[in-house]
Amino acid sequence: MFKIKLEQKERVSKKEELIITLSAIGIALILSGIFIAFNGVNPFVALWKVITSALGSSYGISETLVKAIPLIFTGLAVGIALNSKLWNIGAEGQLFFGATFATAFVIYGPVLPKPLMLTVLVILGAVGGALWAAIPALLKIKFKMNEVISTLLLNYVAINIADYFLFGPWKGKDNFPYTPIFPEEARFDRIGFGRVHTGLFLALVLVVLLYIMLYHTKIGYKLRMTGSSLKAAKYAGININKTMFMVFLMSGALAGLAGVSQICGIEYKLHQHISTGYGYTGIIVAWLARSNPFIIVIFAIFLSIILKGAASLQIAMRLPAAVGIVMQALILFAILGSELFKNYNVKLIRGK
Amino acid sequence: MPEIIKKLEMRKITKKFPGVLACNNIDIHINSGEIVALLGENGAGKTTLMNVLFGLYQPEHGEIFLNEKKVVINSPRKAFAYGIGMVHQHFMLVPNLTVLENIALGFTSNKIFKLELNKVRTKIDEVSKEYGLSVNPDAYIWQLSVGEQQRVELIKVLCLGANLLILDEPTAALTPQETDELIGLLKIMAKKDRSIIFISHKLNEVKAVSDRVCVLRNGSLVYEGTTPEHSVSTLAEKMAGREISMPTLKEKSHATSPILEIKNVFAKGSMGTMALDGFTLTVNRGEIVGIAGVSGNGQKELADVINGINHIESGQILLNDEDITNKAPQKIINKGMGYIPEDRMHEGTIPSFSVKENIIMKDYNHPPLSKNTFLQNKIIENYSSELINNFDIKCPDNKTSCASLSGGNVQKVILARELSRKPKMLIASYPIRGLDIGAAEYVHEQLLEARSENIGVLLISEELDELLDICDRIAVIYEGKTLDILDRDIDTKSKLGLLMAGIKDEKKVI
Repeated sequence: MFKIKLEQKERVSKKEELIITLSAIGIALILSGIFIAFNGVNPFVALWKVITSALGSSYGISETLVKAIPLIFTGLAVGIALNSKLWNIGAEGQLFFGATFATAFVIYGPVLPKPLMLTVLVILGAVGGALWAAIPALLKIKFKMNEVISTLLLNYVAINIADYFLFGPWKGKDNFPYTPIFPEEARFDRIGFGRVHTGLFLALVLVVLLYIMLYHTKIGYKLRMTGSSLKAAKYAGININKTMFMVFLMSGALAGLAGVSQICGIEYKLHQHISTGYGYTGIIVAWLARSNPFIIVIFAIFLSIILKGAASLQIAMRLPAAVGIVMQALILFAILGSELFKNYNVKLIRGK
Repeated sequence: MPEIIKKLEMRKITKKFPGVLACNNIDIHINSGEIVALLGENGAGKTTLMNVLFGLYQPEHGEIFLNEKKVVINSPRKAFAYGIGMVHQHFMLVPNLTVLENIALGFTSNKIFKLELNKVRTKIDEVSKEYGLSVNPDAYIWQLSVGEQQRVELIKVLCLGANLLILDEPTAALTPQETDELIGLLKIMAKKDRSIIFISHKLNEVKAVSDRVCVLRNGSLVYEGTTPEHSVSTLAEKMAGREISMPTLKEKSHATSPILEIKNVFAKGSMGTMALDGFTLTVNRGEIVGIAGVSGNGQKELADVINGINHIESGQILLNDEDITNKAPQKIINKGMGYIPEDRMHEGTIPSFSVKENIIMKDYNHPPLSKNTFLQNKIIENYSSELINNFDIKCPDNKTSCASLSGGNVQKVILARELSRKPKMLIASYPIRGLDIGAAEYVHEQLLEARSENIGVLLISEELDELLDICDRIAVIYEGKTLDILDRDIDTKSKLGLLMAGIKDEKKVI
């Protein structure tokens, strides 16, 4: 008989950590392969299909990037909160609220010259997301309510608010739940590569800005300190409530931008399906990337490959659409499980 | 029941961690009825060696012999089966279970669905009668004091039939009275042919309790001998590998102008009761005032309210004649308050942050360490390297995380940060608790240095030797009040001991 024995590790090197993470992803892919095999499809063929459909053509690459843009925003949104150990499960709701906020201006406001119009919409989207995130922030600060629950539940409220407008005042002429199509002034330009739009640049600029903020500014230092030890942050004289509130606002604003980039970059209108769970997938992105802004970009692209690839599996191989979600879940599980190997030496020993 | 341990030997034990040789070819042995003290500075390998014996770690080389027979111990359960029990430095008790339930957790039983609580209860009764250890089996762990929890840990290992007990710094959190009780108890156990391995930094305890000492330094056994042939200072020398003399106060303080005035302060503790109940004290410039008292008498709350971390209900606190009552911590820090908190690992520093980031914790907010919104990395680098140098912090570079430093070096990081800010007043809570003697010496030197620079120092401690060594005056705190303030000259240890227990000399009522 063999027995598994755990010994606490003193420390783990960066290289070791990378190897463990990559092996975890590898194991997740193998498990996904088994799942796919059970559905009667050769997993190697399926994997090849995922890769070729997402990266094998310029159309595939452009569509993968299109999905990566909102994931970068939501990944940053969840990631910045995670840096202060706050769980924003509400990026999906903030995305919708931000989008609704910006849409209101398109519908009720004047049509401004394009640069001005887009600036206003971006700001309004951010403000909308921030406002929606301010609710759980206040609940946490004033009443110590756990943000996981409040942000999650507020998602449904935000989506219902959007629905109210879509089925009510903003209903289309043909009675379908979507707004009139946006004027040209309210659309991000395409960059000449499929449907990829300038929202990508906004996302990448924010990645750099957030990195600088986190590691090179006073605010970032405060924010990381609050996340690392509340006791120490208090001791160092940081106003914890103020810092947490600010983090929620920034997180919500970023999620709101995901909404704006969807309505102004891809859909050109507000409807019920502007997000396919980008707010939730953002949680996985941020977690895998350890909340590091640059690594968030990598994992946003990685997960959009899976989303894009799974979509083509559904069409080409008649696999259920859930394959993509199953793969995401397996990757998350494998990474969570791999934490064990980072903290412990795992040994098999002979014994009874 | 495991067989009696007549002799236990660990031969040529070597245990490596990545980059560290924690134990290097160590031979030790213990006979029945013997108390062996395992001495060494932090990181010398004591705990690692004992974790090997208790089956928590597997050594790379080396063997364990029990009564001349080779044994393999690869889990704590195995260790218990051989009659080896360990009481860890941090207790392994479940707070919201009762004493009985906690002890029952350690028993293996054939019945899957039923805890044999009655059997365990009889066993606890037996053990507590045998050693005169009183404990209420139905009390919840969270209701017990630290000393009582320790007693529960001891009863637990005794109930499990341990013949050899490993105690890892058992007195670290005990009051002087509780420590004396424990030492008495250990001697009784030894008389009943149990063997005890005692890990400690506190040399007078080692001297009082042990028959033999083994000294580890940097993972190797450097000395082994009988205790009576040593004094506390020769033991300290063996441990540090150099001569150690704890600094003491030489000349009297002539300071008279007050820097910190605490006037009739009332403050609530975490349980909602009045933890500070009309506390009054003045600290002068260039003076070290000690706060003696059994922990839990308002010390934590006192340190917190002075630093603005908690609010007071009524009363007043003045720093340098300015009112700092209930001001935000940032304001109080800026007015020149320094604070060495009790919890150096999670309050005084952030383990996941680098030494550099920990050093700037209180000064990142203003020039030169930051300009406008931006941290000035170059200046921060230089500043932290300078402090690492000046305070002799042992770390590979300023990017090393504090989690990988020893307790003594973490405390040096805090000292470096607090003292380099040139505070007017410094609060030091249990600054040498758990530190080895070399590091403790350093901390005291720094506090005396601060005193000579005309800084007022408030030293909160439970260790009478520490207070008597370096304090000008010692105030005794009891149930949130200043029970008495003694000048250093006329103090005797016994008087302080009585005062800490709340008993005040009748003749000297103020």
